[in-house]
Amino acid sequence: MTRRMLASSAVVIGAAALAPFARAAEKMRKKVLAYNPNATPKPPYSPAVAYGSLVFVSGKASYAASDPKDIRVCTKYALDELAKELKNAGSSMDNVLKVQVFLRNIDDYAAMNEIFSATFVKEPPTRTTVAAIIPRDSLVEIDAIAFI
Amino acid sequence: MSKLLTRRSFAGFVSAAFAPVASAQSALRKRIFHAGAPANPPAVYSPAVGWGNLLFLAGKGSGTAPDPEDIRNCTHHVLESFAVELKNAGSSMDKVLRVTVYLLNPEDVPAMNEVFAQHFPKDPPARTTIIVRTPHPTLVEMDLIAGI
Repeated sequence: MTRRMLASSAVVIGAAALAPFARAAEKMRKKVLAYNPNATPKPPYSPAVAYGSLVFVSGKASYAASDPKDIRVCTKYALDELAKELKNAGSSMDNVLKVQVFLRNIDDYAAMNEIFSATFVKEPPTRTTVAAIIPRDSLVEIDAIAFI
Repeated sequence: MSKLLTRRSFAGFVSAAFAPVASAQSALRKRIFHAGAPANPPAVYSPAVGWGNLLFLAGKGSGTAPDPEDIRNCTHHVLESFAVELKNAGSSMDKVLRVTVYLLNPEDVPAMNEVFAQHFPKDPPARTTIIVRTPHPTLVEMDLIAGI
């Protein structure tokens, strides 16, 4: 082999060797996701962000629920919205690792729990629940971290 | 072969080219941990969920602290129970990455900080502290994410 042939074959082999790593590095870029990408007005945050096999889902609030004054309807609505977002990301409710629940009224805790435990039946995620003031007078907001 | 491409470096290139690349789809499954006996009836959420090299601990309040009216005692109690939960899952306090602190009274921040620093003396975790109402009467509640 001439030196030139050796050099060019080294480049080809080197590129082939590094290509899988380049693809892996590309996969590790953050991906912005939304099950409803045409929601208006466009929010200043992303509904979901994935990185590798983790996905972070922004809080789903309950102001658009069919009965925004009923905590059970609101909780079901927020969890259903979460499920849609997770499905769009290639994840699922079974893959949820951690949930944050924000309630307008701390007294709604028991009712929220009813709906929550009916949704996360087996091996539920970790959770913290607090009462806070939520935008648009929402009774509940729920966010999640899950794996894909 | 010339000095450009020795047999050893050629072998290195070839094995690197065939190195497996982690796929974006996760083969990891979530693992549930609980340092105490499993709750009966089953809890609505899990005290600790591990996935890959991450561990999520659920919110823990200070209602069961020996002196639930004393913020220092309450903070010690919560952090000590985390130490037990972390150890049970194969982690430790020095692997804690991020803590969220939920306080009832904003005046309790300095005292909570004092105790917090005692439990995380070196390279403390990232932290966010907010004032909220929690489901059960408690001066302080915390949750965290750690590495395993």
